[in-house]
Amino acid sequence: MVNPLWLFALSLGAAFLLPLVDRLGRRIALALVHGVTAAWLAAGIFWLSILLSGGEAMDFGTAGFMAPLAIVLRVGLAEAAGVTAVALTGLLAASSLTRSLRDAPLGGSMALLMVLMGLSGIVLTRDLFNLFVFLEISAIGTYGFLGFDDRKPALRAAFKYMIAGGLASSLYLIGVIYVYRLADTLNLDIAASGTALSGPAGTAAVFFLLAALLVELKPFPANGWAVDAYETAHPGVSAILSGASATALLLALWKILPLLGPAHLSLVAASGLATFAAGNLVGARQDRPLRMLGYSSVAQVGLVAAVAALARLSGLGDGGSDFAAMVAGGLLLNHLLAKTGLFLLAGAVEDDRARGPLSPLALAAAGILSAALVGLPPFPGFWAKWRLVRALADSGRWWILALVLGGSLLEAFYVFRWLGARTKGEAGEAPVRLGIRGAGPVLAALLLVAAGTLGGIRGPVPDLLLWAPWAAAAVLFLLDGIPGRLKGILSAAAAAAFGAAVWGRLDGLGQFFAVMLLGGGALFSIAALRKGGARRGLYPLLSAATLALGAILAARTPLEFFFAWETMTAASWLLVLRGRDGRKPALSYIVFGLGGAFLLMAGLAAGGWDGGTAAAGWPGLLVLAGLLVKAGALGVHVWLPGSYAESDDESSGFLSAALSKAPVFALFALALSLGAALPGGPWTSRVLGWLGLATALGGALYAVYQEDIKRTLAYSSLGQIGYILLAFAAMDQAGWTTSLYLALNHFLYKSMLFLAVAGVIQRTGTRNMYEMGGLIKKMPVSFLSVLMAIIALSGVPPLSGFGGKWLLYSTLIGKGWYLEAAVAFFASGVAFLYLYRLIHSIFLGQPKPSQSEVREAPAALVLPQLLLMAVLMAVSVFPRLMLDPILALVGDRFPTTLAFEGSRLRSALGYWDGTLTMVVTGGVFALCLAWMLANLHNPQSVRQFNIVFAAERPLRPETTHYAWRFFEPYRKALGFLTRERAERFWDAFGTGAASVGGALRRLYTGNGQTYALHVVLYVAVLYLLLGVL
Amino acid sequence: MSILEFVSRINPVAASGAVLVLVGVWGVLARPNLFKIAIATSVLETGVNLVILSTGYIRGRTAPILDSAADASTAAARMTDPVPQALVLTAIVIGLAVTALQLSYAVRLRAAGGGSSIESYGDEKW
Repeated sequence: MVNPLWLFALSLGAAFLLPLVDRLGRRIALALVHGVTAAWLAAGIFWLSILLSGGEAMDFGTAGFMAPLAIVLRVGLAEAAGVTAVALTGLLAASSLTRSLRDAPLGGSMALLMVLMGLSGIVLTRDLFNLFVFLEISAIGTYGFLGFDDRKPALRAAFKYMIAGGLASSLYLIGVIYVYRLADTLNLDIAASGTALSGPAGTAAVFFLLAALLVELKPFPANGWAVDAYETAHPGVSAILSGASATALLLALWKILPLLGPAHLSLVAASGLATFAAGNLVGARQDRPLRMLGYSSVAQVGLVAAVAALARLSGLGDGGSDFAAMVAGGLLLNHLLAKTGLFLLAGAVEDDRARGPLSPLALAAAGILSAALVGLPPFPGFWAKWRLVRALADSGRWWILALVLGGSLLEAFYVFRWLGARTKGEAGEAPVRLGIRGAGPVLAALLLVAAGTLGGIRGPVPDLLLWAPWAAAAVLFLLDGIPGRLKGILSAAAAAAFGAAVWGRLDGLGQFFAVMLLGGGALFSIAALRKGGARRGLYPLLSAATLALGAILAARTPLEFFFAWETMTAASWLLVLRGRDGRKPALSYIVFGLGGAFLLMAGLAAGGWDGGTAAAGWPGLLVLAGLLVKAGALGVHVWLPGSYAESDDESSGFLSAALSKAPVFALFALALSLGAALPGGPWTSRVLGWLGLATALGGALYAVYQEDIKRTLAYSSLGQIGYILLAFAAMDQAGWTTSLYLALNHFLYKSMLFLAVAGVIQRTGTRNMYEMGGLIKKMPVSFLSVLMAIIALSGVPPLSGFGGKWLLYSTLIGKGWYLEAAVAFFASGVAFLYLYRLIHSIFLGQPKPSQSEVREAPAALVLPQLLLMAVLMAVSVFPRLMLDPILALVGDRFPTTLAFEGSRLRSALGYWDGTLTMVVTGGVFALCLAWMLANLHNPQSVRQFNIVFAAERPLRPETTHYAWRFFEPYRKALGFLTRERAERFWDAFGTGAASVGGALRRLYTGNGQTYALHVVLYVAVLYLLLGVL
Repeated sequence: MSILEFVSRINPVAASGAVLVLVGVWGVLARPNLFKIAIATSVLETGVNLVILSTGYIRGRTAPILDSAADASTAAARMTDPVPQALVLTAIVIGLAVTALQLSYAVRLRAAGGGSSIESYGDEKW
């Protein structure tokens, strides 16, 4: 192995030579700096390769001696990784620093060399005093580096930084000298192996060492000086501080862990967790991106420190150092790359004062970096967080688990809020192109993808099929330049191919849902062909979301399931964000999506999946709660209407018709894993039933008062999911049959509705129903499609919805749930109101003059509708096509109450014959039509205004077609039910969290002395706590 | 133990170092002038250096120099501990660098038209 001393000599020599080399030109001087950094990187990678292939860690003495006589440098796995990380961050930051370094005085380049060398020294040394020297070298380098380009705010921040740094180094010195006094050595390993430090004096001495390192790690509340520096320094400097410096300091903490007693470790854990929570709370209040990243940075570092301490303290995760290394290391790697990339990216954007949207490549990088930071799959943070949550659940540390997940959710909120704003940019501004400054972020993003993918495939998710969503997204994103229609076909083909590949390993339930989920994805990929052009981003996301739905079905372990689930959440969130006004709805979509996912994660990690005794208890309930959030049960539905309404029209259809079935599938899978029972006992089913009922009623009521056609459909979806939940909660054969029947039916008619509506919106250019009218002649197929769909939805004979309603009431009455049946009946009546309006306001009434040129929807929308109409017709005439597989699926888990006799479905209450219904209805209809045709004398075609209305002949369509606030009269009767209580509750919840953050951030007054006081008080409080512990 | 005995046991170097540390911390926290903060940091570091030195001192022993008072064979038994002295040298050098840098930043902040009180540099906050 290369002796690291050569590298130190190289750095120092280069720094001294720099003024000379600079005479040859700044470019050459900078090349020297980058060359030295690259040499460190090469050495780090070289060491890593040796150690990973089975090499032993090596100690390098100095001046010909080994410890205890001389300083020893160690190259082990952690050290090699640390050196690699430090040098890598340095090189990544170079992409944004180079221009400034060229224009600034030479000191900047020298400071960069010294910072990186000092940080590598911190990583390598095993000597406590030498650690101090390297801490100071990197600190002094940092002080100089902060102000290298003479930006005034950074000078201010650097001064505050120095005050805090001075206090920390004094603490460290006091600690180190008493450790030496007591242990008679400065070598870490020798000091840790003896017992000299275990007494009270030793505890105090080690405390001072620890306190200094903790202060350097920027704990809450003693971190204002650091956040100020993150915000104001050159983004390249912030990247190095947040990435490389945090890595080195965490490794220093890692190194002294063997010296620490349980009391010390508790302090580290408590301080780290408090920092994580507070950093994210305060970060959520930030609107300045760099400061926000600063808070996120201190929060992440706090989490890593806490995990390392907890693992050692209490044997978290089997107590193996492997666990600590993997989880803390994984989180650290994730933080390092993501934060470095984000600082560089945000800094470049902020520097230009650019307000436009990001260019596609920069956008992809920003998306990957943000997603990685938040811990979405497949990035390293995801795997680490899963293991962490699992270990916390196993050891019953629920408070910590809740804190970690809550903090992560807050972080997701503010990071994605920033990303959403950046994605959209401000209207009318030119796209932001980053040029060479984009290199660092893009490279960081690529490394994250590589690390996460490798870690996943070689680790917990080796099944390549589950990676198909990511592969599809990547391929289609790379092909994003080709014509959109080609991509649409590719996307549909991917769904079909995935279906074929996965079909064999799915059980009946999986296959049943695969038809809806994958079929829906393919259907809406085809529907997206309605518009030409590249439609950048749409197809990769649609395809990824579709395949992720398939992966959910194919998952076999809790982690695989959760992996696919979060993939689906992320992809569908981006679909919503892609919509024109999708920024706000997308934010609530992802926050609720992740909130649900975190509940799910906690439940899964605690054993809510495998059908054991744990699953029947509250871990199973947690899983259930997570699924209900995703299903949009009333109360946690607030994310749903906006996201369905504001996403692209085909995405809305996909979300509503296909994706909303994923939680339904998971509900069934959960219940099946418990032997067809719900966790928590009979009360769960009762509560779930009423929740479903409330959702059904609420959805219908909200839908009635909408003017926006897509909002109407969104609320309608909400209501229909409510019925599915209600029937599912009955937990008997009829209930489950009904639930599955309703699910498939909902998929059919909601697809038709959204496809038809997509065509109407495309042709009329508005989503407001009162601006439409009389489209029946212009869009006959869409009319027919909507007509059939609303007949099916409302449950009027002869279409399949009638069977659904019959099944539902049979179930409820058979179960003895009379009140539920009554409310469900009432909700159906309400639903009829908004369904009627779909026909009345859009297709009937007076055509608007401005819409005289409207044509039928494009073939890409019409053909799928025709197909769906045919299917709907077939399953209506022959209900057994649909019900036989469903009855087989439900099987004999419950006492049999439903059975077919020929075409009759018989229940305890009576029977329903779909074929007969169709024949009778068709017969009556035909008779009436024949009678009408026979008695039709001298028919006359009616022109638009060929009517008389209240003795007056109207000339404007508005006066004859009453369409705006159509159901206003009903508001007096029922309006009190539709006040947006859930919205207000969650708004208040958000305001509450924001005001806590707002109160906490008052600590950061901007005054350097206040910050110094925070440091002193922080250390004093820790010291007092140490006395208690 | 009588008070006199207690006082006589106090290591005068360590005690004066501790006093300087407290003075330095007080200065950092309570003197808003940039230059005084820098000087206070320096005082703090000097105090720490005295504390370091005090740990190497062993009563009744000679300076750690190989001469007639102690040769190589008896050094361990007759000399004070030389390591803290070596350490303190390093700490002094580092302290000098930090103080110089801090003062130069103070000068740059003043030269850029800022006030001399740290309270006027609180624009970055919350």
